[in-house]
Amino acid sequence: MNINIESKTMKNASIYCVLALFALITTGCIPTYKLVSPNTQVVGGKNFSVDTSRAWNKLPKSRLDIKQEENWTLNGPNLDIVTFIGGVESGNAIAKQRKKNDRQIPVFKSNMSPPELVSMMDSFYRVRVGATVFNTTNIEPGTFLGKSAIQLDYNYIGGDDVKRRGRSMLAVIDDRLYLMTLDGTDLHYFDAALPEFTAMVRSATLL
Amino acid sequence: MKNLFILTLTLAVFAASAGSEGARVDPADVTPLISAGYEPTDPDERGMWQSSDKIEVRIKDSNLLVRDPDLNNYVFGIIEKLLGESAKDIRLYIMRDPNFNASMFPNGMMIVHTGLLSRMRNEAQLAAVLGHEAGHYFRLHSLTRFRDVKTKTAIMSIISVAGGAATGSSGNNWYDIANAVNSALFLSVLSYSRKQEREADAFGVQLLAASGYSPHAASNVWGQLIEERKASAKARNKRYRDRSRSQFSTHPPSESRMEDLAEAAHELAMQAGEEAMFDNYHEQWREGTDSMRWSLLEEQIKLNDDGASIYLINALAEDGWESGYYYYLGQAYSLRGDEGDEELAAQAYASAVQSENPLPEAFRAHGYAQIKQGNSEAGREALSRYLTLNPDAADAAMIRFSIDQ
Repeated sequence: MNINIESKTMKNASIYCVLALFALITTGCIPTYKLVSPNTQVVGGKNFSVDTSRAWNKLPKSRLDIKQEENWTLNGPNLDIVTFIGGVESGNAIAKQRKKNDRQIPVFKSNMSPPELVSMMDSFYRVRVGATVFNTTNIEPGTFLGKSAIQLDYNYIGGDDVKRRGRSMLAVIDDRLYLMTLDGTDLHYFDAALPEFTAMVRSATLL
Repeated sequence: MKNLFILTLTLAVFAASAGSEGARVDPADVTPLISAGYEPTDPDERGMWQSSDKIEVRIKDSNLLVRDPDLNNYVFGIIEKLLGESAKDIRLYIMRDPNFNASMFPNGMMIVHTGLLSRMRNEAQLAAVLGHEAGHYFRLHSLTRFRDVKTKTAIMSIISVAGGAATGSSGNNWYDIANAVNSALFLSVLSYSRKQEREADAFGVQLLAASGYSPHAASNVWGQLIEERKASAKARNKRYRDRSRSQFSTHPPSESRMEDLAEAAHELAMQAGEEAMFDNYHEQWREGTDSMRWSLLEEQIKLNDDGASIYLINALAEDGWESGYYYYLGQAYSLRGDEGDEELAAQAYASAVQSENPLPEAFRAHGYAQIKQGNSEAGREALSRYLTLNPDAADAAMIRFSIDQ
């Protein structure tokens, strides 16, 4: 910035802010990260379980998360993040949004074809994540929750100009969408988390 | 989002202080203040150039920079056609950003968004926007604005600090880079006064006519943009605001500016006489953007701003429907997902595969639409055709799986 705004008033204001923040944290009013132990964990709105071989950090719920969603990270969400979404009903989107938003995350429909599901994910990344470049690199049939699924690999560049890669497993079971996603920076973090993600996908069990 | 809101608010404050609408500017009164090879003279200007150079270094390294040589050469060729010898002072950077925008920095760095290119129907329309940007450069608008903005920077700094503290991180492409290097410069480039915008309009329309482009292209660009925004607002049951500065557009479309441009174009055409050879250069546009045409359109369609998307496709296709327009129209309906959209999408895909030079993706979409409608055999046939046309497709394994079902 061009000018120094650190006046005495500003310093006092900062101290009060820190004290207020401390009070909120200690009284449990601010959501915090929670440790996820290596074990069998129930995820995605209690709709499926996965086995983990290492400890993860569960992110606090965001106001834009739908009720069936939860997110874990190893090194912070900007570096790596795993998303579990369990059982989105037909006619709903995979994230909350305002109807007045010009750009809408497409809603999931239970009769979507594989390219339509891929388009839905592509739009989600552009609309919500701010990806201006989104490339699908591989789409193949796979297995998730013991059912036929789509394994989608992609890379993208978000508004922060960082290259990231992602893998999504999508399965439509009884007209509901189940989704597990890994996103990580192209440099190191995606590759580092992929084996654990793959193992979690293999272990995923519908509840 | 908070960052976006705070900066939009800040720009609005500066825009509001930048003067009233003002009267129409006569193109004959707007002459360049600098010539080829211009160098900064006073300390303010030298400072602006240094900051612009710093921003440029970062832009050159950006992952969002479009490096396609064919497209870059083609667009720069239009700048040369407009500016002649002075084009050597301009450096073009095409950035991946779906928002309609272009910006001109005082050191000659010109940033053009892919969202601008995706909305142009012909070369003359892009030339109109580039000519307008050149107007800001040759009239030293950022310097005048910088001097005005510098005195108000304190407000910006406080708002900006509060915004940064609230959001923790940035994420607005090159805007963040520019704002971080020099917020006063950033504001001067993104919030020209209404009088300056009108001057740039007058300068641009003059350049268009002098370079053989139809001067009517300028008012057509703004007309299309206004209609697109109206269509977007209508789709969300919102009221269209004529002076919207959403998405940081440095070119708030206003119907009065469009009318002035149309009037200026009419006068320039009259002055040039009936023998004047004005052209829109539509075919040149088709050839010049061929390498990226559909990916530019896809960038807009995938944002699922369906009112804007469907308007845009129909506007572009006024010059002739092609397979890609039908395919992306189908995509727009499919993403919108309202009742009846599946059928509309299926019809669009059917037209896409029947068009000349059909896009491979159109067969994929048509194939799955046929399967959904119970025409399994025709669907599989279309999917096989997709694989024949695009054997190395990223989704080849998935398609083969679907064919075998």
